[in-house]
Amino acid sequence: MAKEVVKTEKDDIKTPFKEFVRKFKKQKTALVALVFILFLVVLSFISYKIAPYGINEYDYSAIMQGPSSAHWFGTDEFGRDLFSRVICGTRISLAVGLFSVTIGAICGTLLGLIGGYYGGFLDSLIMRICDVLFAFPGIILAIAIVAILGSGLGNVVIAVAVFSTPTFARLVRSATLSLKGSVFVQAAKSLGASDARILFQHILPGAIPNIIVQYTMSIGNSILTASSLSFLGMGAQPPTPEWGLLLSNGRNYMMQSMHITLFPGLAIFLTVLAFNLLGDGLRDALDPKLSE
Amino acid sequence: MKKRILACMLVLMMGAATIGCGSGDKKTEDTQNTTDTTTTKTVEIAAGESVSQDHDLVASVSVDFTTLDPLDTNDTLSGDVQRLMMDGLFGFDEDMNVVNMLAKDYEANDEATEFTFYLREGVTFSDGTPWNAEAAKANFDRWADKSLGLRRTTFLSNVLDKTEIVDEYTIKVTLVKPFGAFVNNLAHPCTVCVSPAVIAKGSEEAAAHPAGTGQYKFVEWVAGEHLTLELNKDWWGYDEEICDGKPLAESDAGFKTITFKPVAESATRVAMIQSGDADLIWPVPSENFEALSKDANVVAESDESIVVRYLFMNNQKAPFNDVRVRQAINYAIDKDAYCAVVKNGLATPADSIIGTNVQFHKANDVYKYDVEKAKELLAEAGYPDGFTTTLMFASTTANQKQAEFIKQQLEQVGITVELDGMENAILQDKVSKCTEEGANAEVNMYTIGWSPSTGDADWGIRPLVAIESEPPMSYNICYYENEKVDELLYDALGTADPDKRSECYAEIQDIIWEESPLVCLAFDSNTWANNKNIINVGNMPDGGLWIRNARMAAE
Repeated sequence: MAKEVVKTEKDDIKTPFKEFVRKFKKQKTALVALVFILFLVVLSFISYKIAPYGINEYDYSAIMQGPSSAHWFGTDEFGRDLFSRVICGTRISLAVGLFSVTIGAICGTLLGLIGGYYGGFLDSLIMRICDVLFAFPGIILAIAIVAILGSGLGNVVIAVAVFSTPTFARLVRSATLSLKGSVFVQAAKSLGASDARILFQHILPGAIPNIIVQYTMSIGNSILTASSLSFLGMGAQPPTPEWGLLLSNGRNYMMQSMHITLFPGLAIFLTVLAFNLLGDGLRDALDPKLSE
Repeated sequence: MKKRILACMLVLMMGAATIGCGSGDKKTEDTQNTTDTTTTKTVEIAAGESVSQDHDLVASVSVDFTTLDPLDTNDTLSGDVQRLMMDGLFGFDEDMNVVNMLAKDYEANDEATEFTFYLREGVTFSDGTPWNAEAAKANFDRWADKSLGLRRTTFLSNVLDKTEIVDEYTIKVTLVKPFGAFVNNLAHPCTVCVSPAVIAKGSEEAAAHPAGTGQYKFVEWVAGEHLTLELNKDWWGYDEEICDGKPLAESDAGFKTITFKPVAESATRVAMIQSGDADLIWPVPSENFEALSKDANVVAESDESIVVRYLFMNNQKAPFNDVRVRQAINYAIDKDAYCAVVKNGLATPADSIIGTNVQFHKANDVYKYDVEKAKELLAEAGYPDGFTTTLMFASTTANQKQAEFIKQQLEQVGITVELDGMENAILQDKVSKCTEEGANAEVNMYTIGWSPSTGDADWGIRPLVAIESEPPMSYNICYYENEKVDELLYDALGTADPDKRSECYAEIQDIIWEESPLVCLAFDSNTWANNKNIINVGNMPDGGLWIRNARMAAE
């Protein structure tokens, strides 16, 4: 018996991180998604080196050809190699997704912390603004912002960042509200810790798991939104090999050359799916309320 | 090599498709050859065997109609239905040669300031009003009325002086200045004649309840849903006697009713013709053309149009102020590849600033695709390493593809083109409504398509290159200024003699070709698709609907 107890004690020394890794390992689909995302990240760095053709290398004698050994994904309306264009588009889509959500997450977190911690008028103001932003469907809001700022990838990043901000703000605010009253925060306060220290050292770490889950899920969404904006002609401008733009181009030839639409569509679909599955896996692993 | 072969094949195919157009005949005089149709027939219909007059035709169109008042219309589609309901003094045959309609004949003085029109007898409007000198005068007076403020008010109001009734079927029109293109302008769809009873009730009546002398009568128009016309069996064009023995249409031609349904999404229109929900669609999106041609129940056809695609260059701004640079750009763009890649083979390289079927067209040699020559010219002009410029365009799918193509082509000679696609209204504010002088205008390069619906060289050239046409007045977005060209343009307008006009326009076309203020890329093709049982429907060279002699075989 005694032996067993000792063993348990040793095992019980689990850092939250170890616990998370243990739980996450059980999420098989999320693991596959993670591997796929890592693959995309690597691809985004080496795509221009491994692409068999230049992204703007046209060949008017090979217009809209189906997949073949020379052109794995076929060619588009200018005879450009679609495979090269799709893999080079990885960098753009991932970059747009990461940048926009990172900006949104940082702004949202700051606003949520401030609102939740100080309360009062400031809190009401921040939350009402968030409510207003929430009232619009994300894509409509993004279209409105791009319409004001003008088209282009940079502005798409800003637009997506703006519409992902309120989600983070609301999330972090509620975590802040519940942590604000907790004993360790009270203790830190009575020891004379500054507001900044309490917010960033004591409250923020408690909200991190929520932020991570939301962050991962939002990347999928923002890639989709960015692609949609490019599809509508408001994002990347041709001849950028942005997936949404490739999709939009291909749409015109869908009746006879489906591959031009199919492959960029698949790329968007798989990437967004991977981020969403990873997000689901992370939530399951990080949420203490969910039973194993 | 492969590229060459493909290009050659496409050129051959297009050549074969356009040979049948019969565009050689360019007379102003009445030729009345309207019963000669060139549509490739898949079904044969014996005389009197057409069942079309028992058939309700459904045509699916891309946009809604704007108005039914000809004088307030500046879109081709609204003009199309008006041309079905109303006839003008003159009209076009399907190759856009001017033919006599409600006017039997005319005389003009040498200065092209006085025109006498002899009217056709025995014609009545669909509301019962007779067509005579009084009715004609009512229409001329309406065209001359500057106070109406309609979209086409300035089309003739600045040239018309007065109209006098000579006798019941003769009128004399006096102009304030020589206008050699007057008869062509009277064939334009905005100068079809409206019943004087409608005119008396005002422009609102004309916009909602038109009455004309046409082959069809107006039934109803529900905006956004449909517009329905019904056959006018008493139309004078069927009557051998009124038409001097040459009826405009066979007695069994025409449909019981025609319903136009606006459907914006082109894929839906294609699906409608394939499923039989529509009997006629136009234009066919070029990327769907091949698929529709293979459909056993559908006939898809194309024919050369007078719409010309241009690449404009701002001639007053460096580097385009150097003729060598403009020529270099002309040499650097492969027109055959343009037709094959951008237009899916449904276009032909342009050999003039105006289309083949436009009056007084004169062909020149297409600038051959020659990268080396282009580079040499650029080096001579002081740009051995090329330069960077911008190309503005309205961002539609077709324009986008065209712009990308131009960018790719010019890259080969070292010219970097930044694409600046934008929404059309914003674009027009910056380009065609620009009040700055050419040298200060924002535009460097610009793409546009243009077609003169008068079928006349004047309206195909003057708005694009005359000094008076610089924005914001009209579309000389090249800011091209050549006094010789202007002089020739006014000389040509100042006479009604076709030979003199022809000489002037030939010289103008040569100068423009040499100086290359703009790149003439290609002549578009009109495309349409119809139910395989229907024959003799299609487009006129200006993209207008041609359905006068349509007939239908029994199932």
